[in-house]
Amino acid sequence: MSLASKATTVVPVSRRHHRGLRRQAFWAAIFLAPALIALLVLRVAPTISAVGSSLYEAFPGGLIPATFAGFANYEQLFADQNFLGTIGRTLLFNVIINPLQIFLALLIAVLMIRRIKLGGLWRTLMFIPITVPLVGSCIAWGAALEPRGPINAIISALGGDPQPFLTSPSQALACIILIASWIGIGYWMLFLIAGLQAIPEDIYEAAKLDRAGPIRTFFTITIPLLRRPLLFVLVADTVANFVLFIPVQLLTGGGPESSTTMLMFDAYRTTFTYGSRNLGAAEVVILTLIMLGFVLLQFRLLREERPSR
Amino acid sequence: MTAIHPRGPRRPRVAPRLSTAANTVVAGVVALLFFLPALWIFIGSFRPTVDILDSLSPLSWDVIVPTRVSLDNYVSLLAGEGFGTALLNSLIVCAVSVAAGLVVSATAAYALSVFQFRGREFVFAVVVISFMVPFEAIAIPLSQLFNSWSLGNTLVGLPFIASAFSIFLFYTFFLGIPHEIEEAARLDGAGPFRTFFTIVVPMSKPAFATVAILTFLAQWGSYLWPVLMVTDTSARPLPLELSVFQAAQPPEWGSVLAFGVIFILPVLIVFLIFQRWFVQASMAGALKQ
Repeated sequence: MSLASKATTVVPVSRRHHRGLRRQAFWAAIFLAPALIALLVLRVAPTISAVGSSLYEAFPGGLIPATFAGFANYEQLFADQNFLGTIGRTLLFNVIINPLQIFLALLIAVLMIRRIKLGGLWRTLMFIPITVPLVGSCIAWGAALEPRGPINAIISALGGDPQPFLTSPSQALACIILIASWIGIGYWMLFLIAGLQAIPEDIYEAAKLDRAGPIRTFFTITIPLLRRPLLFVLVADTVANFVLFIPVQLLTGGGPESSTTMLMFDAYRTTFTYGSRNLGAAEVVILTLIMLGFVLLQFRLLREERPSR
Repeated sequence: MTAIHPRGPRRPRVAPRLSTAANTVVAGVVALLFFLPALWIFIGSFRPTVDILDSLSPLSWDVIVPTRVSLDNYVSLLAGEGFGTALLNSLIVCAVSVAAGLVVSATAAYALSVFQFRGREFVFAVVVISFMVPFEAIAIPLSQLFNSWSLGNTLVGLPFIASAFSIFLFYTFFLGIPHEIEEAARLDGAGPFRTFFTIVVPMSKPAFATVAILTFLAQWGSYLWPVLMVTDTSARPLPLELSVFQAAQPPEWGSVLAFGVIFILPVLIVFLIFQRWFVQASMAGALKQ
């Protein structure tokens, strides 16, 4: 409800309302100004610059001025087996890591809210990885996964053969999934615990009276009632993992044999390492469009939950 | 967060007690799996570098219980040149980010939650959706723009400013402030600025504190943006300095882990103090009805 319509005054309501609306629009513009300026500088300007740059062609080094090339950069990208491989790898990575993280987060969340001894202690221990910034965790895991590191020591002690981990084309991507999940599982668990606690207790009591076992209760009650938080967390996780950059840049540099090259890192490498700014800009535009799709979905989910005044 | 409800019947029976024990064991094992890597970082930071990787085979309690303990890693880290500068840089950048982020997000959220104007829903959607697109996606062209404005290698170019989440959090909070309070201020002759700064801001301390903490945490761990913006050693914040440390050949694992511990510690302390409240804050607006 508007402020103006509440005011007690002799001025006819419609006129008063109209003037009040204009006055409010004026103040809204003033209060919105800092955010709108930030939006223009931090989001709109780089997007326009990336779109513009992606339509031009130039030789690395920039000695010869760039020439307008239309969609040639995009055509070149989509004709390039390496780039298609990068897109496929990015999708594969996300199809694995996001459901995996959310599923494990849900399992552990269900466990953590059950009646257990020392529950607070276990939850706090679970949450500690969340506080480790990704740079710190990547570096520590990089050390732990060294050929002579503690993970291999544990494998040897259990009778297995030492593994190459980050230096193997077949294991590096799995290692990155492990590193990202060490933080991710606990983080998304926070959200799911809140969602689980919002499920009314008596529904579980009713299921118990119906003699439903724990597994049936989980699939017929917990999951359906948790649909929205689960969906939200899954989309938010995807948005975060689609632009995952730190472990790739710090630990593998996209290798070995391109096995960890994903879209975000590829855009970075094309732009800076290979110096192809226009091609890199086209990759940024593709990445941003994909992200926008996910964000629109996420926004719709948020909207459903939004309180109304 | 509300207290954890005990599930199951009230009267203790044998079966539930058994399942409590089994659940506790599983929960404990899972929690320890997540905690051990953190413990390994912490303990490693007190060991000589040679012990960190070499003491492992054959595997023994040495991994967790160090045989030789020293503060040498910390001493050499703090005595070195890069660390102090990076710490100072990080603190400055975080302070600016938090201050600017609070102003930008709170004013925008206030405009969207309190004032009525045509196209409000549209502006809300545009602002929130634009800031929801992860910063990383457009970080590369943004860094090229910033560098062309000569902001590269300066602390001015480093702070994050707005996040959709902060705006959303303030927005939800402001919606909860009763209209009558603002109305009374208006009838007393207070303009929107005075109403905002003398009435709304003091009433919204929890929202400001939450956004400040979340902005601090995001900025403290920020890595991609410094990678894109900083080449000078003197402008590096902590995460970038840490990555440079790690890349040294041969790696000084002792110092790297000590660096990691100092880097993680502020976040951990903030988290442990505000754990309950932090969980609640992360949920605000997003999932609570």
